[in-house]
Amino acid sequence: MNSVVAFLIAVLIYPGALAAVVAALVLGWARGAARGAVAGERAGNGNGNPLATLGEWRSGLRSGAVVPGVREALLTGGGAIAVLAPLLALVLLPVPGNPLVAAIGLTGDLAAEAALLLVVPAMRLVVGWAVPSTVTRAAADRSVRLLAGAVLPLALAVTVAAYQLDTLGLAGTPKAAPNWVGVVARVLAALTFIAVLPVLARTADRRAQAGVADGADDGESAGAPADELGELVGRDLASFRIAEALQLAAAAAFFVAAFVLPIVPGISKGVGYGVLWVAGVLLTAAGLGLWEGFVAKRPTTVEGTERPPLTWWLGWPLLVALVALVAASWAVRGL
Amino acid sequence: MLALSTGDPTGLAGVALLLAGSVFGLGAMLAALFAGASLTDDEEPDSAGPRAFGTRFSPASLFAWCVGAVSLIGVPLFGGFAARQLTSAAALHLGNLTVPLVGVAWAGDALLALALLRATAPAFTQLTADIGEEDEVESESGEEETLAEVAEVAAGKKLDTRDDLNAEANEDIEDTAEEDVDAGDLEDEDAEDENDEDAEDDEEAELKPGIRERRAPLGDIRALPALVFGLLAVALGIAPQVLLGFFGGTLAVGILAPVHAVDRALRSTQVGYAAGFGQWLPGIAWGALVVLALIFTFTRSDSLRVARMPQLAGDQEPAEMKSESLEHVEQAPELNGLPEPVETWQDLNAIFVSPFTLPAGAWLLGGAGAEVAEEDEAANEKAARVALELDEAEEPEETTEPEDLVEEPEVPEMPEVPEVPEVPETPEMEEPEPEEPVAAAPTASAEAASVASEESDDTPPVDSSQETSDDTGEATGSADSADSPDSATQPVAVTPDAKPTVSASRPKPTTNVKPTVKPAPSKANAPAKGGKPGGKSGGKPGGRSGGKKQSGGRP
Repeated sequence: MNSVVAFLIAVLIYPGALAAVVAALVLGWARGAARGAVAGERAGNGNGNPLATLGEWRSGLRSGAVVPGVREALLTGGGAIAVLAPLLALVLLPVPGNPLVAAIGLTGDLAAEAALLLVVPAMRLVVGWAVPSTVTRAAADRSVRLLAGAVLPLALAVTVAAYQLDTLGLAGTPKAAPNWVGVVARVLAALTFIAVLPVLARTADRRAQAGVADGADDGESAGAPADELGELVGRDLASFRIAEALQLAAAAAFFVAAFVLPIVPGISKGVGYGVLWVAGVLLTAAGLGLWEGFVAKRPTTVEGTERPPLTWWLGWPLLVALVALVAASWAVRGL
Repeated sequence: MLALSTGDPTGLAGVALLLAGSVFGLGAMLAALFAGASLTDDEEPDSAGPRAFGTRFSPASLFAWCVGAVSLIGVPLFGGFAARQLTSAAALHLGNLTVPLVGVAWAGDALLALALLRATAPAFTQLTADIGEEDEVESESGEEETLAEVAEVAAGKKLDTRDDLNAEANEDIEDTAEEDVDAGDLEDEDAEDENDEDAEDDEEAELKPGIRERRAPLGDIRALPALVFGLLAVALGIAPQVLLGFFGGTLAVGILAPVHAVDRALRSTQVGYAAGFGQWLPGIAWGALVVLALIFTFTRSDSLRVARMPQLAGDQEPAEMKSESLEHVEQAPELNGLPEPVETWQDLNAIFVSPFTLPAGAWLLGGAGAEVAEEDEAANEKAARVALELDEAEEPEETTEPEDLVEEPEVPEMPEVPEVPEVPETPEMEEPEPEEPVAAAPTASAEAASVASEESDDTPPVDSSQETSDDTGEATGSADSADSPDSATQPVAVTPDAKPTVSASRPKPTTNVKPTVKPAPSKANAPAKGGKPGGKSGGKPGGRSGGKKQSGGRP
């Protein structure tokens, strides 16, 4: 295939803009359905109905409302960057059928993909800090602690994956013959990334925003901490909603490509490969929704919501990542 | 260091890229700082990124700063990423200890990025002065859109002229109108006054033509070097293979590695490069980014941007509305509501004192702590000796009347002291503020001294000296009371360096210890409102106050 045509197809259709939006809507629905099933939320209450979500995006993008006190360039540019980063991550990912793989031998890059997945949370923080509101700035401070606590496990998990593949590419083959220690290392790295997924694919807290919009002071919305995007309205908020949906698709695809597929290296082509991809991203999104449902169902107090998430530094994700690193070293060098 | 330790030609090529990327990135950041008047040869002002607080918003310098920062920390698609990609790939291929070091280096870059984001974000906060400047420019081109106009729209005056406003925007505006109808009425009432004021402003502009001339793009011209560095960093991010091939990057690697070794390990293409254990195609990535950005731009609605009021609870007042009321506060209006990262440092304190993260830390660093304590103790003893000498010298003077002191000032280097004898009657001298004893803690322990040093740095000399005065009118001297007769007895208190002497000269110096130690932890642990980011109270990672507080259930 001509490389230019392959490039345009990859960017515009698959796995670029069109397929990414469709995947984002479907995965958002799976995530919302799982969350609603566990948390007992009403249908349509932010549970990710694709058509409702699409209508919400369209109406939001038409609105020109903007929060004062912030440079419009930041809101516009931040929203654009937040949307483009996960899209770019999907384009550069060697998913099955990506025309760039056949045209130019695209292998992807673990470091670039992981860094691009950090763009959406980072842009949320920038907007939260730039808006001159105590609420959003405090929320951004909470979120940055959450993100900082997730960065180290994420980096170590990606390191384990790259070390075992002996390349930063995602289409590599394991350095050593598969043994049980290597499989354990891959599973532990996958578990580490699963712990990081809720931070990477975090969405704006709809409970808090709904409570603010309705002026409600019920227990549910009052207990929800404010979000760093809480002041955004109109197309800026819609841009970040789209970015969050695309981020879910990109994070799930990266998880499957970097951590799930190396566990089953025997399946690398054919229908089974595609089925594994689709099932993997769907289950990832649904699992994320299940986790969010359990968290939402769990009784939270104000003290609990204000708990510093930076304690993750000394939490189990980092411990699991370190064990995975040691296991990967054992697997490569031998026990 | 990782690349040099591996000795791999690919990693060494990464070093060549790293040098160029660091020069371009750091050059752009430094030049942007200079253009934004944040980097001076004098005391540097507080700033957010390159923009000093209270100065004009310069998009060029801010753009250069951002590009330089992302190039420096290795964000994909920018200058520094290719270097890190090559270095990381080589280090992972080598194995051994470099593998976890690569992961830690990646995490460090990400954490540095978060810190830079927090330091830069307030630069995008828009103040009233900025809006006013923009209004001047926009009014000339007929594109004026200000908060005042929003209020008019909210009052229903201009809704019929805004065809692009959709239903949701109208709902938002109506909500705003209900809340701000009074503001709209005030706008109507003040419309005539504004015309008069505009006429007066025009007259003032005619009287002060220099204001218009100062708005010439001088700042942008100063930002030109920063822009050049930033564009070079972007160019390096788009085509790192050009630097490696055309500009002799691979030839430079030949100094450290066998000749042509890098040619075998690294293969450049038109859109990037490919090594044996890594591939980076920035041409594809930038092309995709441009195409997607065009799609995103054309699919976005071009409806008119209309400002609406903040909706969250809490301190929801924008900074531009509070800037005037906060003039008496040292904090810049751009930082309004931005808390100090005190809790973060408290959490990190556990790492600095943990025997797991810092094995044998108490054994290795205990000596350093003892040295610091000994130095503090020696300084305290010296201060006490000087205080005793001063007390002995003051003993005959304390029995004299203040008028006598005015007539016979003992310190000849303060001739202005006898000129204002009424100052001791001021209420500030009689009632010292309760929180000010934090500033003077020369006799506290090493722990208290470390905390007190932070607080005393933030406390103006005026306040710190006021606390040293007692109710009996024996003022120990201060910047405000330097011209008082009492200050002549201890003029050393005028300078901050003399604080220990002043405090130790009190009859019971140990009474200063408790008020110094106790307020510090409470102040450090409180969610400081409106504190400066990176301020000294929250900036010491090893501060023991946070470690003490952490016994409240956190691991």
